[in-house]
Amino acid sequence: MSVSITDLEFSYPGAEENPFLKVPEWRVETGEKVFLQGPSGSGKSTLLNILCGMLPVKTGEVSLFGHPLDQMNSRQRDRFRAGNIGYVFQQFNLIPYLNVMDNILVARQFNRGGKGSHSQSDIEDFLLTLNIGEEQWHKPARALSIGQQQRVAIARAFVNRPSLLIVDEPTSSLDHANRDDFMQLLMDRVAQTKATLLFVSHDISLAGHFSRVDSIYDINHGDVAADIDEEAPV
Amino acid sequence: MFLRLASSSLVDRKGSVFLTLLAICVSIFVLLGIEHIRSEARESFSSTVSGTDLIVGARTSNINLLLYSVFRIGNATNNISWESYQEIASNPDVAWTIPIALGDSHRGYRVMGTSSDYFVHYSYGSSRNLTFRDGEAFEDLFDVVLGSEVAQQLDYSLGDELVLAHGMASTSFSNHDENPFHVVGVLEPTGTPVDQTLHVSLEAIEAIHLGWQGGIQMPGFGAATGIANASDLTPESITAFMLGLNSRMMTFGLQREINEYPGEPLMAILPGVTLAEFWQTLAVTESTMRLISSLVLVAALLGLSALLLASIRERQREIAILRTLGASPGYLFLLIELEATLITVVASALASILLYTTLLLSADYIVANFGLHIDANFLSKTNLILLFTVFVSSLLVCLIPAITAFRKALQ
Repeated sequence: MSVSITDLEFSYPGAEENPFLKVPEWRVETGEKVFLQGPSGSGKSTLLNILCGMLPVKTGEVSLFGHPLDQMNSRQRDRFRAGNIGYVFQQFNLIPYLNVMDNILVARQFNRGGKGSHSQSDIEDFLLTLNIGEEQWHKPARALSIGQQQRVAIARAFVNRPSLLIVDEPTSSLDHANRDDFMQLLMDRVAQTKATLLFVSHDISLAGHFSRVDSIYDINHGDVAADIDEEAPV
Repeated sequence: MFLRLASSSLVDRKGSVFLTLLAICVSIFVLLGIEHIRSEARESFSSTVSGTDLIVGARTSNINLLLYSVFRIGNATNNISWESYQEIASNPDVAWTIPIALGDSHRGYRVMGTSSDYFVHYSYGSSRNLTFRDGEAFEDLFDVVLGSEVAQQLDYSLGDELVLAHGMASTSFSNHDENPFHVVGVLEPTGTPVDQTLHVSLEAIEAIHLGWQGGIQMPGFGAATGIANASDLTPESITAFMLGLNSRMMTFGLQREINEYPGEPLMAILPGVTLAEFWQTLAVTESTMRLISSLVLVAALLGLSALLLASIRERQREIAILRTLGASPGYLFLLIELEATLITVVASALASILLYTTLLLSADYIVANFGLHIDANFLSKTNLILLFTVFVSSLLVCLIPAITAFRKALQ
């Protein structure tokens, strides 16, 4: 089991009476590719932040690959995240003043308890497969196009061989060609590494790439049955 | 990678970082410079005279007597008659005396009339006597012994001729042209005002002033004529004298005796005690200088803190990215402290290079104008402690932005 949530209740400080997120049960199998959709403000980002350990769990159980996040302290969650979770944001994924290589290496330094990071030569090979040529490696991230930045973000997300990849609206700022290119590269890499994928997007046309489509609205109210195993509607 | 992240971040904000770094650099430069010059001046003053039990001169302030007789700073208010000097020198408790006659100069360097006892009894530092690099003490009337600095700066060597000027101006129109002096000796460097002094005999001082009145040579009274007519070149007066006693137990007794001398108003000072009084007088100035330089440093460090605090607001996205990659709040706290450390270390290094170069380049000017030998190597124990204090202070001041980054990371 990749993700397991039971009786999760989460509320932001000052609004404890009215939980923002209430998930009776939600599970994702290892290797599943889940497309997560929902309107803005429905709790998608909050759920992702809980899963990557950025937000602490006070009520309920959340475990990733059998590791109970709810029983870890902040430092343990940080380490677990560095070693097991890759993250790609909507945009501004990279630290603008670092060059391409340093943006990837900066993620590697935090991995102390995971599967072990990729070597420098692995990273270089991967960048080439992502069409990031050697002449780009030492350019500051801000000098790259948005499409190039998103591809570097994929390289960084995989540098620590994550078991879970969380991708949050990665194509919203890309044109169609770049979007298709990005999705192809991402899905190829996920297939190679057999990582579990949680992909958040408003663009329902992308759902065809995934083995399962969940709505945050349903998860939040507990309408998603555990161990769902249906093909995503295309 | 941690270091590269911090340094790249600073380079990215090079405009504001450079100005902050410059402010800290200047404040460290001032702080270290003041401390170094203060300690070097103390060292230089303290080592100028040793083994002298009393300095005697016309009644004035203790510090003035010490300054003009030993450090060649300022002027005497009056002279001592030769008879009074002889009477005190003949006191059975007095082991030796060094008469001092000041008032003439040569190209800005002071000329001191004295006796050959000067080269035997005068000591400096840890009771070190004067030694000759070249030649020997004066024997003939118009012989001159140069301090090392004078010989080096004016490029004099043994046998060279030079003319003394009346008064202390570096460019004088009243020269003793008729009586040129011959260089017969050059002293080894001492790091004291001796290095900037030309030494001649008391008789020579008397001889070159024959026929002079009120700083002007009387018409028709050439020095050669004067000497030919003068049967005795014994001086009428001297500026001051140093003395050593047979027993130090007698110091206070003789001091009281001289201070109550009936013949003329004289005073005797203990060089060590007067020097201590001098430092006490300067203590307020020293403290004020230290306080000002410290405040300048505090202002610069607060500027550093403000710079980093402002940067955290601009770097919220960067903080979020680092947190997502697995950076702990502690990591971000240390990142801010490392940035502060880098700025402080670079500023300290720049300030040190700047100070060393400035001291090296201004050494001659300081010697010529203040008679102080300031070593360019300023890395004394005190200055190392100051640098360490600056470093720790920067870390403490930057706790504010570091804690802010920590709290942002937790949010």
